[in-house]
Amino acid sequence: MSITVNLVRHGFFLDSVALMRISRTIGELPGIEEAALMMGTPSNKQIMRDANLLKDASETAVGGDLIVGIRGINLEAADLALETATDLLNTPKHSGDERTVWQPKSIRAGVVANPDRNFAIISVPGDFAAAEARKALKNGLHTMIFSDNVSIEDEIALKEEAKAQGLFLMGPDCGTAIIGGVPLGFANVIARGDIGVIGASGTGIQEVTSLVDRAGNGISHAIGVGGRDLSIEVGAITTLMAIDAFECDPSTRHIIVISKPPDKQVVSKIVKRIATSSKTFTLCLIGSSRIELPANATQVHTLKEAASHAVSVNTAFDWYTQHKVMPLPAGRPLIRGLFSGGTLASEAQLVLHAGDEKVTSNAPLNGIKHLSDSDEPHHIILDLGSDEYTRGRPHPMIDPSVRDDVLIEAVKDPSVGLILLDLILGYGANSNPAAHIAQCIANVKIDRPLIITSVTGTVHDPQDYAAQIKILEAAGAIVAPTNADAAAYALACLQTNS
Amino acid sequence: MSPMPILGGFLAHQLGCSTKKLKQGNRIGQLIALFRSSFYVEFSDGVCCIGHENFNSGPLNIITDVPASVDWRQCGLQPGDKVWITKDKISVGQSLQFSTKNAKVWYPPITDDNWTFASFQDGLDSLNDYDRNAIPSEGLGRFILSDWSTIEPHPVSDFAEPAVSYFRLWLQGKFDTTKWINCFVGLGPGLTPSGDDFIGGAMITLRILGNTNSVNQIWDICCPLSHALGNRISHAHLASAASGFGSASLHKTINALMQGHDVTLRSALQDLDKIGHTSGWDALAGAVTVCQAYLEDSNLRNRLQTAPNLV
Repeated sequence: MSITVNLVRHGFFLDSVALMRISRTIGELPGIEEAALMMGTPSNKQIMRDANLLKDASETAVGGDLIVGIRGINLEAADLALETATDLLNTPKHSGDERTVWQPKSIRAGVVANPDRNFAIISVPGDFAAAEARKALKNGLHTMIFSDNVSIEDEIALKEEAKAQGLFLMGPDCGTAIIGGVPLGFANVIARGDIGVIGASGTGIQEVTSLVDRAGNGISHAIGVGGRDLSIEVGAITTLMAIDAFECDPSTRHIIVISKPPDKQVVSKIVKRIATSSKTFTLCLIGSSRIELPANATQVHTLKEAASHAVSVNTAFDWYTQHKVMPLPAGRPLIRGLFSGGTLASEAQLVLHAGDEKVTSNAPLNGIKHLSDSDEPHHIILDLGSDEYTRGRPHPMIDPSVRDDVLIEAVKDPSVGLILLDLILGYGANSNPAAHIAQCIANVKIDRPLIITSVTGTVHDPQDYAAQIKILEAAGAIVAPTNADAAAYALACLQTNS
Repeated sequence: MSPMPILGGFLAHQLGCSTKKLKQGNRIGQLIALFRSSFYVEFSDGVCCIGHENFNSGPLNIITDVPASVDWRQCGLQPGDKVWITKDKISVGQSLQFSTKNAKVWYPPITDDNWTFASFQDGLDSLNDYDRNAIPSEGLGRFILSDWSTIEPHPVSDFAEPAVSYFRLWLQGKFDTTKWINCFVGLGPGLTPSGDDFIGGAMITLRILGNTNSVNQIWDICCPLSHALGNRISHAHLASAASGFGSASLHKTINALMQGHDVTLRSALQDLDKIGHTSGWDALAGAVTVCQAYLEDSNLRNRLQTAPNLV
């Protein structure tokens, strides 16, 4: 006696070619009289009913459901065929994809599935990021907004809401954080230690934490607050919460605060808070004028100084003073800086500007001209991670080819005598960024600009720190231990000429 | 920072006309079906299908610069992945972004208006002479022939056969009820069931012939049925067809059929054959059924209009 078996997959779509192929394969199995795979529309169910391929239990299937109907000469043959059909249906879905673990599709589902989790990272287009962050906060999660293009009104509202609940709202545009030793976003593999870091966005934290690690120390946590947290509008909500958190954290001895120059009123808020703290502080407000600080705080000007002050090893990064200074090639008087890290680009501007060089940039610090405002030849420092270079494309830290064209152009530019680069390692960054730079400069061996770079990262990073330096040096680049050193060395080379 | 980690930032070159509203942005969607060369996304007010660089032009299709060698199933995508649509970008899950900023909107070509009844008949005759082995026996493709009994029957076409006849009579005003529509909706296997493709091809052809009244009558019944009984993807294709928009190859075939251009028709049929397993043929069967109804009936023929501008 014939036996019919059914399987109904809800909301399962396969193209007709695949369904036909599976129908035929199943139909040709031993002991199978007929097989059909059809969506559960009334017409299809009628056809399957007429062919004795539909059981009563499958009558509830609807148009978006796939019905597998198999009629065999006995139950054993039919069941075996159904098992085969199931395998065939699963094959394309998992093709090339080893992940079989269920992944939540919403914050709510994630919280229900993992009620012990207390942290969410929001990485969606900016237009939708605030709504997702709100959901995370409502579910009691500390929240890091990786996305940019979140309005300042939303940022303020979210931070106030988070603060009221005793939760951190990190970001928006927070690219880097390390919480409890866990790197989030673009972050390096950093040893645990007693230095806490508070930074606006991304590469500033990466450079400082990497230098701290390479000096033999480590960090407790690195908290990203977003590029606008120290603005007058936001009023340092997250920065002040971060200081409070570090104050209560017995594993943190010293705190580094990294930012672009904040608003004066905001500075006074921070200074007031620092004055009541039991911890010591290093403030690195790149491009900021001198600030009156309490005795437990020191102001520094570069990321290198921030790291070396915090670890109290002032000679750890001395380099350019010991390195032979080379003049720029004749007739090539300009520096071109091509940076994937925004804070590193700022630091380079600062060093060149402090050396009385005329600099322009697409992301200028205070007192430096914007690229579009300059009509005479200047040294140019480009932040290639800014919107005009990354719209519709990956960030250059992920895909270094974003820098390829401008690097090749700079190598060929007869006015450019020195190219200043950064190279950033760590989680999220490209697996072999040095190879990209080497490839771009390899074809021009004679009469090319000096190439000066630094590598932000540690020996524990996935890309192999030493190997990256070797690739760069083999390609003829001079590799400085810090970004500040690279810029200072570039300045020294430039001023040797004059 | 952009969403991370981005595996690829790509360009969308072309948006099918039924997806042009995506340029307004502000939509959240979900990946609902994933194939080797394309994937479907459902958003609050529609469906689109994102494909490779050499993807077919169609009203729901978005053509990108992703190489044809890429298998979407191996890009870390999964049904259920969220999709965010902003004014100039479509972000799929955590891995893909498509810039729509410079994408052009595609509309089907306007049918040449220099056809005659004689050229129309020539086209149908050429179709009858076409290699029968090339017409799939599954689905409704056999109804493109005047004598469809020459193609091996299949349960799906057997089920639809009476409805095809009733449809033709209904168009000619010789049959009042529209119950035949119920038979087509959701009939057949696959993403776009053969019956839906048939109705879609018929509605597009009726639009081209200027018979919007019949299209409206069909769609008034078909729309809620397809919504309730069919799947979301096929419903979206049907909705486009009700507006007169189908795949580029279907429009090319219908145009060649009306012009009676044998060579163009053969080339168009080869393109049509590439749409799914039977979808192209099923849609053509609907188109041909409409054409046959017109050519058989002088009253209907007299009501013919020139092709309306679709754009």
